[in-house]
Amino acid sequence: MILDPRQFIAVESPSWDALEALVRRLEKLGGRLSLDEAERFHRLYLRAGSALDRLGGLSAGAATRQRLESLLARAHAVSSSAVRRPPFDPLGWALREFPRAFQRHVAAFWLAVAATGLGVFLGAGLLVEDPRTKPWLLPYEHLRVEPHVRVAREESRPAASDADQEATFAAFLMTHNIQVSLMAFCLGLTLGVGSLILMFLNGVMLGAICLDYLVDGQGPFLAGWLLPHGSVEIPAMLIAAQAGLVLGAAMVRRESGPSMAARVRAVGRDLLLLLWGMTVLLVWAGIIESYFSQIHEPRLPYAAKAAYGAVQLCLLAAFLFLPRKREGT
Amino acid sequence: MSAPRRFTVRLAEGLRLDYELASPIARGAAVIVAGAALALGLALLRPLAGPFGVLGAGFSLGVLIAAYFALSTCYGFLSEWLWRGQTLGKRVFGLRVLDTAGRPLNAYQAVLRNLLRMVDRLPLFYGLGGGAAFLNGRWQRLGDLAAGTVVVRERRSPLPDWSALASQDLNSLRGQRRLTAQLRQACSPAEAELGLEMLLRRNQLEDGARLRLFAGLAARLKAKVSAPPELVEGLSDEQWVRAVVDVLYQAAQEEPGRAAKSGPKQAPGQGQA
Repeated sequence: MILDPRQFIAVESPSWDALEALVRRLEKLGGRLSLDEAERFHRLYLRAGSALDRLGGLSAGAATRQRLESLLARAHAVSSSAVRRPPFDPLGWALREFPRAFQRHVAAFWLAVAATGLGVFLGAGLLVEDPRTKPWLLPYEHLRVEPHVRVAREESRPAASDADQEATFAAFLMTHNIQVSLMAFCLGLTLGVGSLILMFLNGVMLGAICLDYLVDGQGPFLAGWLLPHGSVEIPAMLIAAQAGLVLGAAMVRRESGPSMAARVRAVGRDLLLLLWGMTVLLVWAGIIESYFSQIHEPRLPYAAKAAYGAVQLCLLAAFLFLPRKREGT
Repeated sequence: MSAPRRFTVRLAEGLRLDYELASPIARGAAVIVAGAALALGLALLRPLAGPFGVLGAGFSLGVLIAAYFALSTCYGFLSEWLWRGQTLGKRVFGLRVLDTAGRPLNAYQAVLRNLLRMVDRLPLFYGLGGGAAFLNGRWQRLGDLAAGTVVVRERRSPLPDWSALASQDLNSLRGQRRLTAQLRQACSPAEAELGLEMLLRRNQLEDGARLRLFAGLAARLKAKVSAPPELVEGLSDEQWVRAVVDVLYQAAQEEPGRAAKSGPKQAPGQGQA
């Protein structure tokens, strides 16, 4: 049946204009409606939907239909998001929500630990088997020098010789480590395989460094240098890989059940919490590495630094693994 | 040039919303604008970090490095979250990110799709993401696929301009009740709608095409009725179509009360005579 578009629009357009005014209000940052306005919004929304339906087969109403579709799409979008957003609580997320999310996906964490452990054994094994592999296993120049040479150089460095540069170094470490960790997370797109490979390669380097210093008799230096920041930095990277594995698991194709988008949406909050916790840990690790890890004997005993690192690791483990009360109980 | 890809959402209310998907070219342009805005923001950070120099030049540089990183990492998802799916570039080009159910993207989706740019950019210039978008029916890069989002073109369509129709005073068919009745009986709804649509869009048609289209429809309409020669004499094809469409749709104008109460009026071709 043909309806007269002119007449139809003349009758209906005031209600569309009223709906658009409400949509505009909701589209503004923090826009809200009163209960009466919300009811009116609902009525107008249904009425516009009905108008769109009536215009359905009418080619002469194409422009009107386009306008209505656009208006209804905006109305649908604002009404779907018109729930109160959770308050911005970065401290609460880091202290309460992050460990809960960690525990919900702890299996993925252990998988990342296993990949790193495998890499550690392989890195150490390769270096034992053939010391000529050192340049390939340790990509950073300062790690390729003989450990005792580096230790002597570090220990002879005068106090506060480059105190001014420590802040720059801390910022560089934080941003670099967060970038690498985010990449470990992003590689979860490869169904988690990329995240595991990155952790494995990280483990290879770690294993080679540890063995290199231990064989050279520099165990105390290694513990005093690595433990203070490594006890936070390495778990943070493992948590990034854990998030990547959670993402990868949600992306695995399944025969039945919710769609991939719905599965990723379901773990989205946990992913965010894991990444937020990882970021906080890496900022702390960057501060410790630049202001504390680089201070060596005779200024600071290695035993004290190693003890600090061990205590920090125990506290972090307790923070992450101790059972938490459920929300709302 | 190929037709734009569409994206349809079916709502529980029975409504069907149809969106035009943003092409990779439009999205690339938005990325360039957003990148330029970001570069400007980063340039403005430098003087802001200056005061930290009192704590040492290294401290000032450290603050700058951290601020650069924070801004470049957070810009995308913060702006998309706060502006309901838009960055500055998307605002300029009228694009918006929605989730695949037609809802605005939430904080998790905004973070996810923006962080995953790191992979989409690999190996160079969005190689992976661009490849995924071209293989995907919805132009989704990897970040969109993971977050369940699409980028659509926003439309703010005005209502049709009815002034394109004839001035009713100059329509020689007005008042010809018998002819009007014949036309309503003989013309199909599709023909009436086609005529109206052609009149509304006449200025968008190329001259030659417009003449051909109106000639074709006028001949078809003339063949349906026997109009007195004095009424059609001197009328061009377009004027004839305009006059016919006007009388086909005129009743509701004359009887607005009835149309308003009873909804759609009786259609041409449905035996109103």
